[in-house]
Amino acid sequence: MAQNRSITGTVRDAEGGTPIGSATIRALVSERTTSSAVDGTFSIEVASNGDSLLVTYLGYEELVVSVGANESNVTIDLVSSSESLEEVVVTGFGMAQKKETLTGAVASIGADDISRSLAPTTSGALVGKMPGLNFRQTDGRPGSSTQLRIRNMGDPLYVIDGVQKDAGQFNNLDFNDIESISILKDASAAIYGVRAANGVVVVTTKRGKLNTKNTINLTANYGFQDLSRFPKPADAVTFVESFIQSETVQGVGDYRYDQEDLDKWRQGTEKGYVPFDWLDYIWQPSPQAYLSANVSGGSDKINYYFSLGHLNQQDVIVNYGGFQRTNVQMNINAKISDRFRVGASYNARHEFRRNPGVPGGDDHWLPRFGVYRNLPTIRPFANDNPDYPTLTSTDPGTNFGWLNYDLSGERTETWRVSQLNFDAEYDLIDGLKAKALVGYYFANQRMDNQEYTYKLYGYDEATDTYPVIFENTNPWRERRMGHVEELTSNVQLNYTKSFDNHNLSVIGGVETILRKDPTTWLHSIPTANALHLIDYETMDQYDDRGDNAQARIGYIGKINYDYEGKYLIELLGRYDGSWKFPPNDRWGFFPAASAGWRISEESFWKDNQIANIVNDLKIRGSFGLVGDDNTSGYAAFDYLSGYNYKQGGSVIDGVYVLGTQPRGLPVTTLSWLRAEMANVGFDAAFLRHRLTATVEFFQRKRTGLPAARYDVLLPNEVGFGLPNENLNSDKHRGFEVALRWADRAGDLNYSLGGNITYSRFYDWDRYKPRFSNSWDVYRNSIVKRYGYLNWGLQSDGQFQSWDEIAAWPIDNDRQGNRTLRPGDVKYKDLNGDGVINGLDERPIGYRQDSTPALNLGLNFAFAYKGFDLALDFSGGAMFTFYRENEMRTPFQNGGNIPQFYAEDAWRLSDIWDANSELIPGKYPMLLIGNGAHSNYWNSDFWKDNIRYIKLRNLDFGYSLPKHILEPLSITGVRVYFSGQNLLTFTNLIEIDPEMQDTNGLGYPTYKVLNFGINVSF
Amino acid sequence: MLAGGITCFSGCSDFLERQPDTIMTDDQIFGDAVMIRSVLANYYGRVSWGQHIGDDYSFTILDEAGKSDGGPDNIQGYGNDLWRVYDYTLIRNINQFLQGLRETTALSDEDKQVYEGEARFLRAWTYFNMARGLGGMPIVGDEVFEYEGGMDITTLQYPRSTEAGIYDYIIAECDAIAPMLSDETNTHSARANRWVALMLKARAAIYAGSLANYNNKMTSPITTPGGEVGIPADRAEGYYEQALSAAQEVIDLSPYELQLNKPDDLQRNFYEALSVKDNNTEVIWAQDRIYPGTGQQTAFTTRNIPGSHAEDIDRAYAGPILNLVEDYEYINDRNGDIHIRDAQGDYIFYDDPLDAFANKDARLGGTVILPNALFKGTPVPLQAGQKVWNSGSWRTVVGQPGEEGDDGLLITSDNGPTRSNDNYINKTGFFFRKFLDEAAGASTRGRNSEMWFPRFRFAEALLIAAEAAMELGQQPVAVGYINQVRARGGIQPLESVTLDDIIQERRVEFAFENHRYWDLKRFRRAHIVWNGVVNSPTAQQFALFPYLVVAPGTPNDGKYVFDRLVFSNSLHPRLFELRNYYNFIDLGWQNANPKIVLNPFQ
Repeated sequence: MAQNRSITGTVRDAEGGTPIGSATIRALVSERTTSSAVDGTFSIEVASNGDSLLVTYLGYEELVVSVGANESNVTIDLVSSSESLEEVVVTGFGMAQKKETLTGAVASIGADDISRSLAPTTSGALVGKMPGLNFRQTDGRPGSSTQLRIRNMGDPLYVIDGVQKDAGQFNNLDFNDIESISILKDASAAIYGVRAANGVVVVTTKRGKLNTKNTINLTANYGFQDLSRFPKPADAVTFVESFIQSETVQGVGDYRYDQEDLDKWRQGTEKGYVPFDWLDYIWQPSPQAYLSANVSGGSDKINYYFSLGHLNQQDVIVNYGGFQRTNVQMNINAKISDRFRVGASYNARHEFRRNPGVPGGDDHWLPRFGVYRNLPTIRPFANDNPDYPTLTSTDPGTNFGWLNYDLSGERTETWRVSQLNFDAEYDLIDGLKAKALVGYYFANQRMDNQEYTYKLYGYDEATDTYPVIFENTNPWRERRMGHVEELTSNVQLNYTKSFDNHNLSVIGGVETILRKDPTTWLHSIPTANALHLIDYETMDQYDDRGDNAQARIGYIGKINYDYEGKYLIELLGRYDGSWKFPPNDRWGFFPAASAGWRISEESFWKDNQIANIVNDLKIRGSFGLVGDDNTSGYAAFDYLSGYNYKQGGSVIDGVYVLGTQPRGLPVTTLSWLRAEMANVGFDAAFLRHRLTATVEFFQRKRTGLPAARYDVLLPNEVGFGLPNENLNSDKHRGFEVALRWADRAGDLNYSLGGNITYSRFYDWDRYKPRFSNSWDVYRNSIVKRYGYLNWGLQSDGQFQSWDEIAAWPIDNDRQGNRTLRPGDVKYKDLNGDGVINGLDERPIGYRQDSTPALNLGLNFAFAYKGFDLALDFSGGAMFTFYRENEMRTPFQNGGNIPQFYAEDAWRLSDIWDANSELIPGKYPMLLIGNGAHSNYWNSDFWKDNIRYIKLRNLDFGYSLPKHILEPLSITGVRVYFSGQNLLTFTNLIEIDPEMQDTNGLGYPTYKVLNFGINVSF
Repeated sequence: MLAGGITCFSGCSDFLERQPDTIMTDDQIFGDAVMIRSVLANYYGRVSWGQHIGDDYSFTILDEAGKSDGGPDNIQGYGNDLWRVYDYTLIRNINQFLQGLRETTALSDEDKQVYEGEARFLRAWTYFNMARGLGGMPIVGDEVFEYEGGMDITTLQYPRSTEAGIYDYIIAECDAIAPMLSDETNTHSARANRWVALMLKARAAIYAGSLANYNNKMTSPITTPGGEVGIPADRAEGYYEQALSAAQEVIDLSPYELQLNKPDDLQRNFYEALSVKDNNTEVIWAQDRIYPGTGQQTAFTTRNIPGSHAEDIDRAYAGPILNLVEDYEYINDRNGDIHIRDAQGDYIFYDDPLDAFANKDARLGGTVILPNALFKGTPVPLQAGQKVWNSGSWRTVVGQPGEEGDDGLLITSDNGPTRSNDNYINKTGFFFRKFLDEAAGASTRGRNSEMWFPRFRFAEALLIAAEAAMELGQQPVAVGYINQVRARGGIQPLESVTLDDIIQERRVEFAFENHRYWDLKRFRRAHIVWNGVVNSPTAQQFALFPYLVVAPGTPNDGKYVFDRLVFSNSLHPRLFELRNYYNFIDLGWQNANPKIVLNPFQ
């Protein structure tokens, strides 16, 4: 055992010489750790016969200083980090590259930034943090994910630790186990060939480091979730008043509620007249908890990372279960000899979703619908006795009073997933390495659903009994069982050599993927609610979905060359085959090239003044071809003729005979889509690397979209159509900008970052488009236009008086204006024909059902002494929300209306008098059964072009000072408060702006308030 | 370790060869009798068009039923492609099947002949469904077309046949295949036999005859110069004779009969003749369903059962309307209007709502659930509200479904009817009876119903024969046939038969059986009946609302009265225009085949 001695030192900023406090100093041999005081000084025990100090501090580059046997005082000058330029970026296929020599459009994010999120799934943790990523979370239920689109291009390919995966696998990693995520946004994705046309998300999980001490890290979070926004239904008085008013206007002689009723509702205390708040009854804040532990470290031969995490996210619907996930990650690497390294990794999880087994396909629909379908004048239980749920509307399923495990049953869904990877690396000769990776993936799913029979009750006051008024005799039991099995392999040769100032790296490899996902589903009708087993005698459906075998192979080649790190060139290509296509048309070649010039490395730059302002500047460009074998309208094996078994069928001779149908003409003319990706951009750093900027311009043109050659006029009467061919094209164009300012003012370290991504979709070439007239071209052509334009009438305010309607020259309702009232929507007669119809429609909005054309993120971080604060904002624009149904049609299906709608509609000053004075409002008067009125035609009155910004993450923490922890052998303790979706700024009233359901009743995203602690030893 | 890679290097060419799960070769199909039968089952499953119980809203488009679920339907006119059938894919598939069938050795010659007969019957049925919507269409025979790039397309272009030509083809096919098919009945009449072929022949011939006859009686007949639409008047007689002889063959020789096994309960008898499959002697061809069997059961009962009898969430999507109910005669009165008010305009009071329908044609009760009628042994309440006698006038009180007044008296029943826009509540005053399944669990989503849908039945043979005989001037024959049908409804016999009698009889006999639309078209009456006039007794939909009388101290207290109301859930009268007599030809079909001429008004 070596002897230790104590030394002292000072940590300073290399540039200004100011002292740095709270820097971490670790002696590598003696394994002692300390931190510097406010004046930068420290003392530490080092090994007597020489040691090395590792000094780290946020915003500065790591430094290792050796301490000689005789030194007793060291001065350490830290250089402020140009971190983003020093980063190593994983570029796919197990390869990494320094960001400074990168020539493709690749963005990456590290562990610290990923983990700053309370989202249950990985996608939610990336929102607003990476340039080039469009996002929208249209559903917020427990365990839900955010839609991620690289530059709006469609479902990306996910690659986790070198293995091609899907969004589900990506989302349900524990994102605290992720070391980094890169997104390949341009032709650099070509390394993944025929599945890369929508970009690639590359994930690397955490690994231990050789020669580091063993670290244990514990994290615990606990918080409360609530709906971020949900349109509030009208209260009882507002509802009753609106209803009476509607009956007055519509001349209904017999009021459903008379003056006496109204008075009682206003009073709200008499039995039978006590209002009920369904929103409050169904939704309540609920907890979310997360626990994780990991250990990592390494000797000189072996490094490891083991982690175990558990997430429990309760539903905000009362007593509705939720989502639980347990994750395991184990990564081990061993140096067998100087030349031979092997590694193994195991990633497994258990995912569990549970909720009552309620009627309908989506068990989360009825609680949302019930808020509106049930009137505030109705209560869930007969005589308010909780043992007797009653009928609250004509739809028995809307009464939340019985949507619970006792009365309606249970639905559970479990995924058990494991991914096992082995890899090996062998140095053949100097610079030449062989690598191999084999992965085996097995995922098992089981869904069990049992919906009970149930009874609803009335109340007979005279006898004080509860007669059954409705009995459901439809028990429903279903089970889905299946598994996914994938075998992947990846073998490559890798040659790296530098001679003089030439740096060369060459890689060649082959990748294979084999997948099967056999699944079966069955249904039975249990004879009693208490029986949960499925018996043959009660089973009535069994559906075998088959193996769906898939196979793909790709051969890969990649060459990187640079001269002095100044002139950079990358060439890559992949020759890919997919089982989907006919044997003679299976293979495609996808090449890409990119180049960069680091101007700031040139001597003319370095020697110039400008180098002091612009510290770093790189210009780069890329172009390449990638593919997509997920061709719409083409299913695997469409090249085969013959017959399809299990298609249709009928009962003949008293037996149900499954049908077999002739297939259409074999499709031999259709292959994968081809995407030409072009990108130019620059990376720059200014003002001593405090300001960094990346700007990209891009275009993707996809050719080969399927269409039929309609000019080969094959009569329809022949009974088949010509198969589609690769004829049409479309485009995405856009830009993205990322800026970051990081600096230090005294003890305050801070960074301000922002990114914006704009990507617009265009339909491009169509196969010989034909139009009958110029209107037809205007209305229906999509050639070289923005895609998914949202057409509708243009509203022009509202009619203000009966006189205005009487004198109005345009037929606004196609009924001679006889249906109009003051407050009704006025439309622009854009073609001047005196009548409002489809010819007056114009583009009024953007796409409704996809990620926004524009997304942005703002990321702020501050650290002061032990305190740290981080804020992430995310926003979107250039997408459209269309209000329909409950948000537009008054009293939809006999249900309630939103409070804000009722309050701001035109109304009578005396609800009992149809001739009383009208009070103007923002919406037309609410009338029952009036949904077909011209007010509710498709127009910009109901279509909103959305803009929003959300405070997606707020993270405020305090790290206990070292001097307290050190005696306890604790490396670090951080306590923190974090929040999600705490603020939303948008032009959309009361509805979550990311929502897509036009009835406004989509499952909104959560607002979360959370406390946590992180301890490491 | 390198297994994956080695797999590939050694056999990459095989690696991408994967086995599909459900694709079979022609040889696998035609080498196996089981697979041949499976193909035939596919074709039987593809021939439901027009109105049927799998699409209950299809009954609300005409004058039989109204949409009760949610808000109003907004129907006014009819689309140019309503119930348009143009299924040349099926015709090609059947021809592919015939090719394979004629070569197979997996079947005996006898079986091959039956299969061929059935396949050709389904093809003729397909042409028939095309013809009644579109008129004459290209007849491609047994041709299985092939296409190779660069070939002369014009050889693939077949012109439309004449309207007469397509009916002639159907009739000739039926003549050819009837002898190939079995004389025997089969389970639930799901397969075509000789009698099914004869019924199609009779129906095609009576359609062609009435088209030849009544089209030419219009002030300006609907025709095309090439006869694709419009059958010459002089052909009518020949068609009527074919129809009469085919129908008489079925009446006289077939094993079917006018089912009458409950003479004491004619309502029940009529219900069973249509809606009970076992031991049925009436139905000649039907689409059958059984439970279990993947998803082919019908949700008609689930969706339309009265709320009071519902076993699941769904109920009351649609209900019959008053127009239909009033078209059923009284036993001794051919005017079937419900007696609501007396000569002074005062209400008529009924002790039980069902009493208002006493002495009606028994088929009404077998077709429609009337207020307070029994279903599965318990009454189906239908009460819209109360009529309260209030100092010399009636005040109408309605409530929420199921609501009772402070006096404990029911205001509005759980079933409705209401005039709201609520979902799952009746709005017409009546529920479906015909095809509503009485089996336990038949109205649940998890099971649904095994109810069949008859396509041909014995009564149609009688009414085709009556119509043909009437048109051929054989009144005694016509009277004989039509009175058999009327007698089963328990209503007075006729002494002579007119076209109006035929239309009336078919309307009430075949309600919800996909006849009404085609009948009014072939008689050229549709534009007169559905004239688009607001409050027209035939074009506007009407509802009948029963009310409980609350007039304490008067003799009428506790009795029931009715209001006849415009059906609130269909705002507009039906409007059938001359262009609707034929579906429009899709311009795409004409683009692809210039020999296709367009239909009139197009």
